[in-house]
Amino acid sequence: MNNRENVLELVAVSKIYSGRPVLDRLDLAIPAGSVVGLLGKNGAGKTTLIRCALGLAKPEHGTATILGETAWNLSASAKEHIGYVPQTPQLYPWMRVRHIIDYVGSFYRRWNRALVDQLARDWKIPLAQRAGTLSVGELQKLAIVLALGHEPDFLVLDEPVAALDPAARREFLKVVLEIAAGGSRSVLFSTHITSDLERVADRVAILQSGAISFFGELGELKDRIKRLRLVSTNTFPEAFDLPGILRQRIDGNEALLTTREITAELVERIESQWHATVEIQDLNLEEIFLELHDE
Amino acid sequence: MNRYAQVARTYLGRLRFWIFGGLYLWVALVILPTRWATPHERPDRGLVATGLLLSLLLSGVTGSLAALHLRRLLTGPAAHVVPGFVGPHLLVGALVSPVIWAAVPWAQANMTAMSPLRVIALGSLAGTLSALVLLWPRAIVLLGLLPVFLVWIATQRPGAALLVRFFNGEEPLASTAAIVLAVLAYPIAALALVLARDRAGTFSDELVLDRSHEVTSRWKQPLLHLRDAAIEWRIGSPGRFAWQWRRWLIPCAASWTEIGLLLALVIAVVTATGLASGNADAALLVAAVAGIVVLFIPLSSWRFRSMALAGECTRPVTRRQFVRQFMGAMLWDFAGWTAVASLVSALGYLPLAWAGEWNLLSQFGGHAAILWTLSILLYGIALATLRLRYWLPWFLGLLIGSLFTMGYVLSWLTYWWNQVPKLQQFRPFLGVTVFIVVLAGFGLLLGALAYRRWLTMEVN
Repeated sequence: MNNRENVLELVAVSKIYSGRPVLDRLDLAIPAGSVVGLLGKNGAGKTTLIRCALGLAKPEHGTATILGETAWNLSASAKEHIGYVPQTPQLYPWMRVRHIIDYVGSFYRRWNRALVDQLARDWKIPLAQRAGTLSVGELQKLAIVLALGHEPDFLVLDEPVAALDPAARREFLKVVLEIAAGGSRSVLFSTHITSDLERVADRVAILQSGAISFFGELGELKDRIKRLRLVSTNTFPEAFDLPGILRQRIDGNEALLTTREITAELVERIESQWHATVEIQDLNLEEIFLELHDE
Repeated sequence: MNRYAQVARTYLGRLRFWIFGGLYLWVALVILPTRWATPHERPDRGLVATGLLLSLLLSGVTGSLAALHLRRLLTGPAAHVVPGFVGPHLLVGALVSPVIWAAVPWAQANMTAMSPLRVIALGSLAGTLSALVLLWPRAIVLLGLLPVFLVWIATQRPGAALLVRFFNGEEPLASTAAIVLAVLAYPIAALALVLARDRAGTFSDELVLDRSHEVTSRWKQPLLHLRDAAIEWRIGSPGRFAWQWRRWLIPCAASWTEIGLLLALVIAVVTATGLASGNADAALLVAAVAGIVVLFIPLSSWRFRSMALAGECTRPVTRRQFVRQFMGAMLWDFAGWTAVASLVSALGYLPLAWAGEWNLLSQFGGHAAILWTLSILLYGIALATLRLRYWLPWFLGLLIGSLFTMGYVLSWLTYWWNQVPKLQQFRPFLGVTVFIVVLAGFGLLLGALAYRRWLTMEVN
């Protein structure tokens, strides 16, 4: 499993719900050994993408391949190497936590009981309690432990930290970093919490209008998208007609421009055309996300 | 808009009330009265009985759905935070119920030659059931008793005489008592629910049960402890026969102690009924009722599991294996509970055996065949509907549809059978045979269609 180039390949995947295209000819290839953060607004289609990737939903168009197999017809052995945490884990409320762990473990040949016990201890998951009495955060932790128990090569997590408190989030991120440290395992996780993504993801995929608007290394994204602060002695026009501008806010002789692709030519052109001084500002991921979505 | 009109709109805006209410009105006030269309011709007793029972069934379904609707509203967050929410809902709910179980039968009696006491007393059973459902949603499974009573009467099984007398309005005291009970039950149940709503589980009207409420209920703890032991036993016994299939059953494990206690309870009730009434038939009916209720036990867990298959579907098996193993485990569970239901029903024959009547094997054989057929039907309908969002109306609709089809085939065959003298010796077997063939066939057909559907379904 580990010598494969890509663990997930989505080619021209389209998915329509109630006549609305949620995914629209989406392409994405996740290299083996990478930790990919999937970022998108509410309703952007992150869960749909993950469901298509795991074969839980069937695309109307395109192909989804995971660990070299068609996602819709995954073999049992391929599933042995995939771990999945759904957005809202539905565990059996009437069962005790330790019984749920035993039940899930009974399906896997390489179930690492020691790892599961260790994680359950570290995350203070009450093994003797019934799942129905756990808090949302505890349920989420349990779902993550269950997904890690068979030490999957490819871990897919749909909003895994949304319900976790800061301490549990930190613990979770530590585990993800440990998984990624070996370089042999891959992780795809969707999230809204950009600071977490910055801590652990080496790549980011931004889902916009049903397609991936950016996929690449986090550093590359930060290098490309910049905010320009312009100050001039003259009054700026109402709008700049420049290539790659994502957003512009103009107030007399001051302006803030966010550009998709910063180049030396662009800076020179602004300086010479409007006699302006240009200050290039770095953006963090949250700011980039907001700029991309024009918030 | 007037607050009461707004409450009424919560009923009128739901398709299920139009469908089941419409069907009920059609059967009760259009189909049945046509039997009296020609004054010179006596209406066919069998057809009238079938029509009355079908009316009762539809009245029970409509009333139970209305009760579940009211329960959802009274236990929901709006009942706690919206001022003046409870009163109008209580009043409208308390008016809707008697319209269903009393006003329609009264109109039916006016349109036919039947006594109002007889028809309204029958309807009152649906009224009392609705009150029960309001307090305890799972009481809706008692609807399953009605078709069995139909078969009981049609096949003249032991115990039928009691039912027939009540059905024919020949027990005025019992009829009056049934009506009084229904009149009192619904308002009392609604008030009790309002008073205890903080402790009541938030059941939606699809019976998507808030199972977390169940696990904190102290009444449930002894049962849950028994099931813990059963789960541990199942987890600890891998490698035995068909483990691949049986492991899917772990979350639904039932304990032998639990089943033993259930049987002991039935023995106690059967004995008490037999002694109190001095009639072995009454004890038989009690056990038959308990047997039918047991058939519905597995539904709740499998409904919960079927609505959250994403986790189950990602286990290391192919999609085809998953569908086969999951459905196979469900079949295993249904079969297990049907065996328990058969045992429970068999207990009803104890007083007869005690009285020295030993020729009970063939009688019980027919009874068990009815139970297993119903179980096949329930399994097929469950597979076809459990994953639907609005599963309850679909479940009830398919159940009624299959019974209606069976009733139609039976009446048509009976008419044809009666024309052929040579076949009269087999007449006693006709009802049970048609029941088995039609309903088991319907269940198997639905199961096969569901299997094909599950192979290609998307999973949440």
